Amino acid sequence: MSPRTSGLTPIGAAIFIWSTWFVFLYGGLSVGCAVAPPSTDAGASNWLNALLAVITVVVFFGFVAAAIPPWRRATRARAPGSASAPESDTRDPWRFLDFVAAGIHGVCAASMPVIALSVLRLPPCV
Amino acid sequence: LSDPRTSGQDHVPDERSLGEPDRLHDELNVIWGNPGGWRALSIVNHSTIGLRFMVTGLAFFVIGGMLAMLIRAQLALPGRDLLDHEAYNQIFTMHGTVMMFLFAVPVLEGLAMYLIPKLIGARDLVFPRLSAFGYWCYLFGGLIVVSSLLLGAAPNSGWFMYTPLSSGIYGPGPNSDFWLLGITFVEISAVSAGVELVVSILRTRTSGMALHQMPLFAWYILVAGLMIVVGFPPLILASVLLEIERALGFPFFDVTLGGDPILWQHLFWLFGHPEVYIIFLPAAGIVSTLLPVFCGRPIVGYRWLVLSVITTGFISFGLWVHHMFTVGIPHLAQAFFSAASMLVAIPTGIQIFAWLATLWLGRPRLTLPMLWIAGFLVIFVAGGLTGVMLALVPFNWQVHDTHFVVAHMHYVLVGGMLFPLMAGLYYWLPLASGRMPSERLGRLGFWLVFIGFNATFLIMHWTGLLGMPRRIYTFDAGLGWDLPNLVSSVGGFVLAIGTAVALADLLLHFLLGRRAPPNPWGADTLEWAVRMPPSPYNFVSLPECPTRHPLWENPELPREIAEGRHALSTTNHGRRETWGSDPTTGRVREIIHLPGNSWWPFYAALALAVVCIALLVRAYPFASLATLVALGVLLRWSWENGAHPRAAPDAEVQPGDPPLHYRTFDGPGLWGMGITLLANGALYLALLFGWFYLWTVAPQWQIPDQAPLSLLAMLVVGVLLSLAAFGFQRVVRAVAHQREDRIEAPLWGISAIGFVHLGALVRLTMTADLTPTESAHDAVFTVALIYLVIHSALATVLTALQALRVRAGYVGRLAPYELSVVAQWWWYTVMVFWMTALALLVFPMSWGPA
Repeated sequence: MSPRTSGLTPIGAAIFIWSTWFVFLYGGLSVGCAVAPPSTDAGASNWLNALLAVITVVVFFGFVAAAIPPWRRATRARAPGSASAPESDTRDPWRFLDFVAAGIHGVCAASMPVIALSVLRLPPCV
Repeated sequence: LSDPRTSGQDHVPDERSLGEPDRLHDELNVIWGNPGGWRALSIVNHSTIGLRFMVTGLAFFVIGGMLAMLIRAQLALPGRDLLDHEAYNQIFTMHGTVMMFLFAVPVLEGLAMYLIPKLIGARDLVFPRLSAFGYWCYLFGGLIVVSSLLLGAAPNSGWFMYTPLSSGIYGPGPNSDFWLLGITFVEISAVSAGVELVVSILRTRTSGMALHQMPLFAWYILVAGLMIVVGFPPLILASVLLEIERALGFPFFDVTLGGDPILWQHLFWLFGHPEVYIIFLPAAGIVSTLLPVFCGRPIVGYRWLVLSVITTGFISFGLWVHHMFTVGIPHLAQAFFSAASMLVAIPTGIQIFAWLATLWLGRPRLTLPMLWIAGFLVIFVAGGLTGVMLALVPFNWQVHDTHFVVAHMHYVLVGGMLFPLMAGLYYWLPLASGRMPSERLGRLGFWLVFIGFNATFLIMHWTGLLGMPRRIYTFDAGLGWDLPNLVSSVGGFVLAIGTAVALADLLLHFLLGRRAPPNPWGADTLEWAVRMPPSPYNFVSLPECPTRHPLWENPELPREIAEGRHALSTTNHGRRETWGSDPTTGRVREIIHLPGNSWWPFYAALALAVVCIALLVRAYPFASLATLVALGVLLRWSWENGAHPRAAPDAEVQPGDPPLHYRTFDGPGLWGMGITLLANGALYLALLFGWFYLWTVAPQWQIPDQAPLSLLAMLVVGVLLSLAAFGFQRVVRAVAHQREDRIEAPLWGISAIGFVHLGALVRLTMTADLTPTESAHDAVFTVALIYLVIHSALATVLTALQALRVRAGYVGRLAPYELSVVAQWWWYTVMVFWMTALALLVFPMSWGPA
């Protein structure tokens, strides 16, 4: 496989990491409830919710950090004097892939708090 | 840009007036032509195979539609006795099964197979024999499933075949077996099409067509293809496990022996929800292709559309539990899936806004295809909104298993798939037949379908809110369901009449339609640069395509292509050629030479059909024999590859042209194997998921006190396997660096090590302390070991085959690429071996029983 295919790799990697996080979120919850279920009296304040929240925050910031470099590369064409973004986009596949890669990382990051927000309110095993 | 409404219409010459195009056409036809008569069964060309998929899919659609009419006739009035409960169970199960598995997915795959090479400037799909094999698997599998109706033994547990209703105890007849075996057979076809389409899109685009210049339809199919590759294997696994449970008594789903029926639901919906988007995305790709043409301007937000399609693709894998909100999972987990289910509406919304913006900024023409697209926008948006309602857990609980869900599902699937499909069929019909459809009949068909559909299903939301459950074969009067059901039934028959009118129009236009002018809609994409109807080779010469709108920017392109002014128009080598290009930039890297017509795909599918029928009638020795025959046929098929004279009659290329792909290390087979292993990995991960799920959830799950086999023995067997893989990699490296010419002996040696490993693994499996009919733990363990045995056996046999091919001169320093294909298999086998050892042996020893 040519090294030039690396433009697709960050997109695949982001999707893989997001999927792994999602599996961890649901799987971790199920395993946690099977192995050492927290007391229902504790509500959302328990080790399991905390673990899920911490992992989510870590991966979230990882995605944000990973989105910045391709986003910078994708938007560099908008500097004064260079071609406008849409026109240059039609000439440069790498800039296009940078935009898509930044977007996928951004989507991954943005979706995480939405999906995992409930760990702040709901007890895990009820 | 030139005016898209007129581009191409006045510029393409009558080719019969040109000597050169006719000569080139005749020469290419000698190489690419399709045989007639019974030899037509050996055709592998993508146009023919794509059309076969679509015609067969439409035939199954008619069957599924007739079943729907029986359902609506039965439910038209309270207390009807047209059907008894058993017949009704079979009919609604088969309606869903036929529509989802035998119509929706195959017909869209057929359309993609037909169009993708033409859209990306290629002469065929990259694995033509795989296309043909997929078609025959689909046809035979579909016939097996549908034959159950004639035998009065059709599946009767619902199209999702929930256990325990579909298990041996509650479904002792062959009904469920027809579904499990037939649909698994059809899914082989779906996965093979997924692999084929993904590799073709990534590796065979014409020169200069970088990813960002790809037609949007190709993007949609690329994502849908990858979703098929990852999404279908969990259901294949589930079907195999349930069939093993029914046939041999392995209790995967039997709660009393450590299994769990909910495992089936997880595996089914791991497939089932992405399936909705696998159906929707190609249809949305049709919309994104047609709208710019009929609005006379490029689509708004190409980059955002690509981003939203990819986003839809992967988020849709995180929604499956919203089909299971009532089975009793924790509220927190329900909240995760509820949020994800609402999130997926956002990328879909981006697409809808891009379409609306294109309509707003363009000058729309309300042609027949656009009428269907307008219908799609109305119906699909409504279905999407009720989808967001169903993502809300409390509402979902209220309407679960009512007609509200049936109405939502039909709004999404019929609105999201059938309407765009009809738009696409009308749009590309002139390309396939050279004739135009009837505007009058077409519009009549559309309005009847649109009115009939809404009369049937809009009111069905109300029926559901009134509390009418799904899958009941009759109901009492006075519950408030009488009138809405009658309206739905009348609407259903109007819908059926409309569908019949539209299908009649599609059929009649072949005889009565007026001749279509070249590029009749003023389209911008390359498929309209081929002959109408297309020749088997698509393009006389392959053009450069560094633009999203080749025909708008150069209306003369069809003529130039036909006159052979572009690349690969030489024919004296006798090869079927297309470009092999860089997946990102579209830069040409090699010439891919494609195999010609072949009987092997037909024979292989026929042998598998025999396996399927033998399993159905429980003639297991005969099934084993047929399996060996199928394997033999597949291996014989693989012999005619690479440097084999039937695959590449001549190794010479034109001066300045890149090498033939079998002389490189980066042929399409490498990518094909990689994507196939992705599907294989999805199946394996689904099995591991099943293991951990049962360990976590199943109340009677028991891990034995002692491991069922020796860890040390497993270690030794694994080391042998790893040695063989390292040895194989060494051979690949030696050939890559051109250090070694004599590789036959090393390959035989590696095959021998593989054989010793295989023998040890088989012995370990046979002597393991497992009673798979008495415990789900042992059943899963046994299946995992069998999975390893199959992989090791194939690695060993494929290596021996490579040694034979070295001896025959088909593999070697000048023809190295098959070795790197087989190397992937070895490394995958090593990986799953050690993962299995860790998950099934080491993990339980360290954690103990749950």
